[in-house]
Amino acid sequence: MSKRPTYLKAVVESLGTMLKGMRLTAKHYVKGYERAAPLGISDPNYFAKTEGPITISYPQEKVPVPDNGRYRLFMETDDCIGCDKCARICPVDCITIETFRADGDLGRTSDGTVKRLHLPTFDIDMAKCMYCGLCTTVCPTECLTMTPVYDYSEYDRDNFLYHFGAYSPEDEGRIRQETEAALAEKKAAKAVPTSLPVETAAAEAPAARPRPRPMIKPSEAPVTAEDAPILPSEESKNDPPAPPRPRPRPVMKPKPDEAAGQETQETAQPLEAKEEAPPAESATPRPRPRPIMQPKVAPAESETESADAPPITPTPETPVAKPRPRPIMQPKVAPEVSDSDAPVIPVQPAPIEGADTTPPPADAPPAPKPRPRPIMKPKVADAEELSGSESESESGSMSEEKKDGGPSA
Amino acid sequence: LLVSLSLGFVALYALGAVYAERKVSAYIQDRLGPMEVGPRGLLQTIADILKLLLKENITPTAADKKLFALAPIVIFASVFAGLAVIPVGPGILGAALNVGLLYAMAIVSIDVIGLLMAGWGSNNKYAFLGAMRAVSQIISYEIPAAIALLAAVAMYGSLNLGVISLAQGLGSPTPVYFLGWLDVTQLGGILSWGILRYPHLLVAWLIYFVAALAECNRAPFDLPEAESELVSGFHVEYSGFRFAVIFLAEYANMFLVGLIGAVVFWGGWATPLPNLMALAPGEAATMSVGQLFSHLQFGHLTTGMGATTMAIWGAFWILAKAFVSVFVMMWIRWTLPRVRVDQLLKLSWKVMTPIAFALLAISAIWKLLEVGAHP
Repeated sequence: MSKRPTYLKAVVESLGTMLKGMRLTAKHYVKGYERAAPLGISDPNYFAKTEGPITISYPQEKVPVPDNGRYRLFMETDDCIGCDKCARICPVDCITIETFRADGDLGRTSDGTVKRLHLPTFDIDMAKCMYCGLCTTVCPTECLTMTPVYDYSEYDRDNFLYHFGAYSPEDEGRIRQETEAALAEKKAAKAVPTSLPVETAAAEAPAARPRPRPMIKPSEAPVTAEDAPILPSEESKNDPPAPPRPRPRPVMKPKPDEAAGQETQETAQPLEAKEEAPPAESATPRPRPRPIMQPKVAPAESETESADAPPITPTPETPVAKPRPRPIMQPKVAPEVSDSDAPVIPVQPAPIEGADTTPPPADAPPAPKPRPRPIMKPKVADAEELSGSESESESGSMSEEKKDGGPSA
Repeated sequence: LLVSLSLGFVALYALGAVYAERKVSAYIQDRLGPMEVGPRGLLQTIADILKLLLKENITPTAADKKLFALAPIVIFASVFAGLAVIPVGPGILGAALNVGLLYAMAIVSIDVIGLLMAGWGSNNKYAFLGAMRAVSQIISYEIPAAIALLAAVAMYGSLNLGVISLAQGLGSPTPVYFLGWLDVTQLGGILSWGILRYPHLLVAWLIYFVAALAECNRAPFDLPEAESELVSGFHVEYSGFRFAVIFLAEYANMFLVGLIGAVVFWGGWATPLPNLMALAPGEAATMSVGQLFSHLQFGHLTTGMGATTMAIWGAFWILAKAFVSVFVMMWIRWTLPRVRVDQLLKLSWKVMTPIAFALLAISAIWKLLEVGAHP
């Protein structure tokens, strides 16, 4: 007797629970058709939807990503100065950069930094990228950014290798040849006149004269506005044979070359590079980065010592000679500067700062075109001083120089 | 002609049912279901069936080739033959057998033999286990299903499904009494359906429906397929067209079961809308549509007055009822978990069979009383 009630009760109860379950599923079924567009995580109603399907038919509709989403890397080639910082900070080595020294300056980036390196190769292997974003924070010109694009699957892993280089392979060969030829010309031209003087200049300590010269260069720049005019003038004065344009750049390059040759491993080189780099930045005011470079050195000196400035001016004249002296310079600098420089080097923002610093020198008294080679030496001195004061120029500049050095050498 | 028509219809229905099943399951589970092929995935099953037809028919080396090849045919043929006695409308009947219901039950039982052939012929342990389960399950559940149907048949006094259907709507040759006292012969509508005229048939229908679920191997009684334990049961070795046929038979079986349930319990082709005004017999036939409307003859309006309109309305109502039944089967499948074998057999033998017999007794007594009250 006692079993019967439980038996019937069990039947009724199971029917009841089944109905309950079916009511539940029916509720879901009825709401199955309603579906709102997917919301982004930043939407205030992100957690509001608790019913209905949450499936997202992915390719057709996507969850909105924040405007500042940080996913695929993008590089604005026109803004890259080839500083190599991103490649070196990358934890997974997914960035490959190849540069070579340009014959003269290549124009400016959108933030005013002067470009002095050709950028034949800038490859990012997105298959390796871990999206840490270090490269974007380290980029001095902010040309390397992360975009909200996150869906870029490929069937072939090779397609993840993004080429941001400035030239096609064919163009690269041609440009490289032309550049090297131009550089070689300048070198030759400069070498003849400057070689001896440079050495002497190097030997000499920063002289008072240099100041006026640096000023001259800046002054020239403003006046002429363009590099070409200035250069020719300098060339005519210093080295008639050498082509107008090449000279100013050669000066720049020689320094880098020297730096590169010696640099690489030693901090001293970096220092030099830094010094040079800032000038490049300083150049921003006007197209002639290299001339500026020299002025910068001068400014640094001028800041510390008025006498230093003059050396800058010599650079234009000495461009050819410079390469030689600098090697010497660098060694000297390295030891001296190394102490102060080492810490400084890490700082990257320098470019802008450098630009700032440079102007003062430009302001300095306009000096005649004097292209004293002695300046070279002053530069060294400046470098030392600068390293102490300015320092920071940029590891990036160093890298550039290094690369440049290779080709130049 | 009727055969090819119904074959085409069943194939079409199966396509739609598979699509519906996927959508129902998706919506119940807060998913979207097929969305890519065609608008809202409507062409998905067509793509699926095309794929199946293009696939190779693989026969396992160790299989009994004759049994293996024959099984899908037997399975589908038995289910399809069951459709022969289903009335789609007044007079639209493949075979007006006086033993129609018995025939349907019997021919659908041959399905079991097909399953056993498939399982045995595959020479696969999963397929064999699935077939064994299917046989024990279907044989067990045929008893309560048959008794429950018998309880209904006792009320109608006929095994002919056409007669049964006719007795539940307008035009019934015999007087229709709602709950045994209200004469609704001229009103028709939902009140004349078997399941409302004889409330105990609601329980009978429940038993029949649950048993039908089990006979169709539908969840929660899908032990023969039991994807999680037997891979997919008796048809694990089938591919291509043969698999498609087995699948088609499965959905056709659901449909057939729904049709039988509709005919026996839910009024067959009869409309659910009643005439709200009683007229003298034969009076409605003389009225126009407007007059019918003004006299609230919704039953006549949705039943049709001529042979053609009656056929169309009849087919519409009975198919609608069958589809609702199929939908409920899907709904249950995506709600309830699979039962264990012991639960399955216990439910059949200890619960449903005794109740079905009790219902049969009630039917008998009711019929006696009704005959006494309305001689």
